[in-house]
Amino acid sequence: MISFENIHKSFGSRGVLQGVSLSVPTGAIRFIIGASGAGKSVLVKHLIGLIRPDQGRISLDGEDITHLTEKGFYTVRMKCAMVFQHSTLFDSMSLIDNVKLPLRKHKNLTSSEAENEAMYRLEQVQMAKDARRYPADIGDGLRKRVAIARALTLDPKYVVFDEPTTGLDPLAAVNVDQLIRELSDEFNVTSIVVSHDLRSIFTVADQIAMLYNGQVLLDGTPDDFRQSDDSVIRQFIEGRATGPMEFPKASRG
Amino acid sequence: MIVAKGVGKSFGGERILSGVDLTFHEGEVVGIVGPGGVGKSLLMKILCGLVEPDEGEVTVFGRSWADLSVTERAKLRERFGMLFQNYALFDFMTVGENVAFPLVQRGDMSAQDVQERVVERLTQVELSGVNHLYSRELSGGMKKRVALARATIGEAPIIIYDDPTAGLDPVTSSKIFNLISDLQRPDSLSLITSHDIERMMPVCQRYIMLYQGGVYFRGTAQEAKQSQDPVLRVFFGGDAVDVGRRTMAGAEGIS
Amino acid sequence: MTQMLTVMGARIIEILQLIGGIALFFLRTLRALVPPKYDARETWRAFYKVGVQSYTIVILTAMFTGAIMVIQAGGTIQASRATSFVGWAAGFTVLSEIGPVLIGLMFSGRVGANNTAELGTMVVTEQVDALRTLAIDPMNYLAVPRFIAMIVMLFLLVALGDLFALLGGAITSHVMLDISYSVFVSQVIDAQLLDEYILGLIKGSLFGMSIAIVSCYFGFTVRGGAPGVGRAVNNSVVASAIGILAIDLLVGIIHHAVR
Repeated sequence: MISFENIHKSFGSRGVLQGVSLSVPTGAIRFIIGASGAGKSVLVKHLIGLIRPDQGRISLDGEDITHLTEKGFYTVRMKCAMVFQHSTLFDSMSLIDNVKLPLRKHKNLTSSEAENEAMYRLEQVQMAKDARRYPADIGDGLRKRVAIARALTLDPKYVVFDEPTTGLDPLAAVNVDQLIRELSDEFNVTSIVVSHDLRSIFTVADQIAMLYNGQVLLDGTPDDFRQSDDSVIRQFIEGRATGPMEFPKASRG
Repeated sequence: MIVAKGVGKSFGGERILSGVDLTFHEGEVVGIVGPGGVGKSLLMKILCGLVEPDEGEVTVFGRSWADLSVTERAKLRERFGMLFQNYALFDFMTVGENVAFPLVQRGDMSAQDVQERVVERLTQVELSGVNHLYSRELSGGMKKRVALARATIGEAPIIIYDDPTAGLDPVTSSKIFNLISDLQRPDSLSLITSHDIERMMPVCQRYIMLYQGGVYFRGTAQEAKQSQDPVLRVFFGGDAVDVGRRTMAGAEGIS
Repeated sequence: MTQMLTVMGARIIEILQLIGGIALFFLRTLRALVPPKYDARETWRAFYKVGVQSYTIVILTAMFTGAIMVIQAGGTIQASRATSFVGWAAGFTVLSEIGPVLIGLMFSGRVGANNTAELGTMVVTEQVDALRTLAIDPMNYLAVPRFIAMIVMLFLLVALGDLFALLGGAITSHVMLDISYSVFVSQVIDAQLLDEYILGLIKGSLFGMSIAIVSCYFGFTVRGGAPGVGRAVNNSVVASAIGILAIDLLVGIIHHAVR
């Protein structure tokens, strides 16, 4: 169980999050949706200490993690893995070395055990045959899969996905969606997915929270969203160009 | 307007495209789709003469790129407008200077006329009053609109949009595609690459799908959705994919 | 006038902040050195890259330096018929002063710049954040191996460069001043330049340390995408050069005082 309570965060004069509260129950696939610049990624990065709140409280499995030190967050990060929007695979390493890195660092394994474990993780995402290739040699969709494999090496209880299907073609996107679903169904991993991919939102999510103007506009099931009368929500889930939706004036950096 | 015959291209021993035959006419808006890394951007660059194919030839207005001298190529390329995937806005110029750039380069208009056109075009993309800002001060959607204004301001007969909505949310994407549709002139040709097929549908009349090194499908979205081919159906969103099962034929190992 | 003063004042504050930032970063690196649990693979890769990138330019720089010193001294030496001093003249300044400084500057332009670019790219593509989310400390994993590799490698490169500088000097003496190789070698040995040689090696290690700290600092603090990486590389090379000259001066003063 993860809970965010009344999170505030500003960058310069722009109040990106203005009192966001939401919780993520164990086992669910929790989507956080909203327009570009609505603060979705900013919110989830609070969970693993990459961004610290101006105000508010974050707790993980009952423990208050708001004010942990960088070192203190290491234990949190072993429990909550993160898959970034862009490939964050290490360019200097082959795919299998990328997956092996957290194993070498955190588990007491012999090199052949680590090799086998990493291979198993790559098989899970159907990338075993490319194990010796380098990140630059493969496409975005495949890199995303390897990044997921790497995030799973430490058997995390929670996985945060930051826009996992953005920039992927429809086939690759469906593939990633299936992986997320499978993690939940077969390995009981709790997923927090930041997304604005409508197809993915309505095929994978168990629960959805929509951020708008720095706050949670609606928190509910996909059906709650389909049946909502709110004109901003309707505009967003129908992907219409015209409507009342306001956009943040300028992005940061 | 553009004819490609038997175009093929390899990079580092790997064959990306082969035997691509395509014909585009004026007044068309064509969507170029396909899995990531399949060579869509490469094809666009071959069509506008930025990359030379290993085999085959591309003719534009009846003239083959291969037969032209460097200056003739530059002249012909003025008839293309380009919107690049990563905006490609000059960060040392203001928004207004960026948009004016193609006109200033062409050098056949007075400064006064250029300014008027810039203001008019920025208003069309709903960005009036940001002339003096720099691109780093804009959000992703705004940058895309500036790039859109720059790509279309020369009223080039051929406009290439390379992934104009990459990374944008659905509402902003729809806005961009609407603008592309508004800016389309009856005698020009627009080619659009994108993964966001659902939102490009109102804009594109037909599609070319690249897959497995060549043209895999050409036709309308309706035809693709009703096809028996599972890859096409998934790609064009004809099937609601049940992600609980991992049975999707053809989707394994390509992406 | 007041505006100019404001701008200059702001610039001075910026520079002081920068020095403070680098000093703090140095302390953090030292703290990351204990306990001595280094990533063997990344350390090996750092050694390999640093060495491979720089040995050719170091050899070239050293040979030119040795040659130039002989040419510079050549006129005076020939005029005063003091050819027996050639070896000493070439060795003395090259080993303790010009050699390490020029090798250090070349090293910073090549290895330091490359290091800033590599780390900066990792920062803007969120690879450093990814490391943190894998509960791996970027200081320990990225900065420490580079720190060790640059100190050790610049020590070795100065040791190696000195030999090539003397070789360059010997060839030039032979061609220009008609001094045979054996005479040159015996002159160098007679000159008893061990002190200078050791001083040069100490300087080399200190330069390696400062290049490592400065180039890692600028890499880790990159902001603003690819253009930011370019700016950081530029700043890193300039700051490294200033660092090298400052350390050279400091060591010179201390050396002079204790002698």
